[in-house]
Amino acid sequence: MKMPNSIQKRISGIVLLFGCLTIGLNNWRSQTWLVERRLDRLEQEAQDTGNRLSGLLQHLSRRQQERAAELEMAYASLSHDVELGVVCDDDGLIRYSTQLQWREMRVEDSPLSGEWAETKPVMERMTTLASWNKARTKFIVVAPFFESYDVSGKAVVMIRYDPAISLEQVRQEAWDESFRQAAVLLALVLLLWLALDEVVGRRVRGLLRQVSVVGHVGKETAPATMTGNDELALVSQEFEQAVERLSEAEKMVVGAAEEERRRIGRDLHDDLCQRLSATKMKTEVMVNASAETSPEVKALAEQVVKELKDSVTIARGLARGLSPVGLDANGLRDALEELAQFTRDAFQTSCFAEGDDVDAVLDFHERELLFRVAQELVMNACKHSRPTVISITTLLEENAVVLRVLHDGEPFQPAVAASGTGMGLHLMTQRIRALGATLERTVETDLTINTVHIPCRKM
Amino acid sequence: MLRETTRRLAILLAAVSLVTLAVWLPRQEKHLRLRLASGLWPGSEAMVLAHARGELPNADFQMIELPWSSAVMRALGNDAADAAVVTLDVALRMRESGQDLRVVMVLDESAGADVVLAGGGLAEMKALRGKRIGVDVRGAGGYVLANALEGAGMTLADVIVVPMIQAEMEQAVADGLVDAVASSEPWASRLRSAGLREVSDVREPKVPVMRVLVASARACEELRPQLSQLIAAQIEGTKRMRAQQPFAGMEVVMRRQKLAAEQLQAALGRWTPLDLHANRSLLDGDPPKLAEMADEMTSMMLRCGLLKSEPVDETWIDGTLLREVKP
Repeated sequence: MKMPNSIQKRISGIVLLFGCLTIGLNNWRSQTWLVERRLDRLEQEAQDTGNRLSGLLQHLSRRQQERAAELEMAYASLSHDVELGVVCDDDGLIRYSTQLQWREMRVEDSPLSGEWAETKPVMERMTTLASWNKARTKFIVVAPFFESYDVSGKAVVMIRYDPAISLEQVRQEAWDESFRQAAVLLALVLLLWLALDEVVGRRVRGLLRQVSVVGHVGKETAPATMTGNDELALVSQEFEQAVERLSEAEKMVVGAAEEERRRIGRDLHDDLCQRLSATKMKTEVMVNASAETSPEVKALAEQVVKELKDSVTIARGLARGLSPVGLDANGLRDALEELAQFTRDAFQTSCFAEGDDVDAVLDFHERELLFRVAQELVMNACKHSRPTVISITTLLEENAVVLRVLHDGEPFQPAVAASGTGMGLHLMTQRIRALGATLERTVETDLTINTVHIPCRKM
Repeated sequence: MLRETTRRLAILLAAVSLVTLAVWLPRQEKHLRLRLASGLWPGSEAMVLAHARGELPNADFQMIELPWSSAVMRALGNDAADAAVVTLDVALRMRESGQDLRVVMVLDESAGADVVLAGGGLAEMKALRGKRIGVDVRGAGGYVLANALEGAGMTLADVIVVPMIQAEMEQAVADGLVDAVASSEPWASRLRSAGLREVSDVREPKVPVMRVLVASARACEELRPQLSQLIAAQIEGTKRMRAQQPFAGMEVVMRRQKLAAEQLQAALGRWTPLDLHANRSLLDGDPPKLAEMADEMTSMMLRCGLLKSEPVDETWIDGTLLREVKP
């Protein structure tokens, strides 16, 4: 059996289970108790009725009040449990009966013939006998009396009780009560479920969302941190602080990495590229010098010049990649235009950059990160989606900067990307997190749109 | 959010409904059985026999056998019984006393079962003027005697009414305490055997003495299946009793009624049992035909002083149970 996977459902289920067990136990206890009580009452009622009737009938018989005696016996049948009651003399002749058909019959011929044998010792001792049959299904009371002033004139009241119907009702009452308890229990479980949902379930789900969103997209869209001082609120607040600390650490790491990239780019540009250029120039001199003396050397030198030229181009490209030229001096828009130019040249793809000037609301570090994100999105599109057009747009919106990179190539495949081990995506995600930004990918009319949304406090 | 709120409201509503159900669910009545108070009228023996045979099971029916009609009335009035067989005039008197009863069936119409019997050469009603007449004033005797007197141009004031129960009449006649009695079966048969004769000029009342099955209003609501079953048993049992002689269970009836076989067979001719069709025509009309007959009986009873006031005009005939009885 599959267990319910929510704490709220489990607690409700456990309460329901324990409640049902309690109701079951209570039902059993109630039935036992009610049945015992009913039987006790029946015994008491039977003995009271037997003794009362024997006293009354003694009095009525001595005064020959037959009608009154007949009526008294008939009233005995008002009791729900009386099966048959008779009054008979010591010869076994029935004088009165709760069922009129047995009057003036022999008791041996009536349904009480089995009990008649027990009346002999009762009439000898002249004491009331009240007892259950062996199966404990019928209760008999035998109450003797003197029907005349002669001690030999004895008679006896015999009443047999059958409590089956009363006991059935008692059991029914116990079940009715259990049914009521079950209804109340179910109602309580539902209310408990609601209370747990309000106090625990909702908050746990909020916490889960908080954790999930921070882990996957970016903390800025996560639900607000819980307030209060209960355990869940403290977990939420601690988590928020941990995320803050991690974010700071990540920013520092990303910043350090970017700084190192810039330094390497500068070294490439300022040192290696200069050296290569100088060597190229010297080689060109060598080409001119050897033009007349050694045509073989000239040809070789020209080859070296060409390779040096290519090397300078490659080195400058590397340097530009590592440290975008002009980002600090000319701003993000120029850097993006240069990226577009590079893309056009390198991938033979129509690429252009446009949009608002966002330099005023972003610091250098943020501009650099945003540029890297744009760079990664453009490179990814060129490498995997084979677009014919790429557009890079920056927009200033209310309290936010938006970078939008759209292209007409094949859409981004999250499943494919997730299965890979691409460093680019990983680094881009890191940068987005460091920016506190969100990335949304949509496809509209064959256009893949990547939107980076950076909340901007300076605005 | 709306869906969440709707779900929560639904759960809250379900919880409140459950609590309401638990609080307001009607508790099972203590007595599920129909308690029938049966007197000693041979025409209702079909019910008693059906109970003895188990056709009316103990789980659903409790038979309270009472020896005379006033005890039956008391049992019904004290809510010790849910239903009883009484005469229509008694039912009208019970209505007058404020009991909320419903007539659910007419068992039979008397055709000589309720008579004025006299001995000692008293052969006609006029001869009873100034005589002592034993009457069960709480039973049908008052109505029977008043009718007989009215037919002879007399009233109850012209005779000396000696109140007594039916069971006392035999002894009262033997002891010379009364000159005549207004008696019903089975005592009338025994009195006939003791030498009393029907007063010859007694005319049948315009509205005959009718035995009706009455039930409390509560029983008519809560014990309808049992009442329908009882009516069906009475109709079916009566058919069986009259189909052949001796009928099954005749000995039990003879013992209960204290009648010999020939007395019982003779008595069976002194009333006319009504079948389901006849009952429907009496009870299930609008207004019921029985109500018209009861109005006529009421007028007569008011005239004779057997009723002090006209019963309040409210529902007291329930013919709907007959619709639930299969023919």
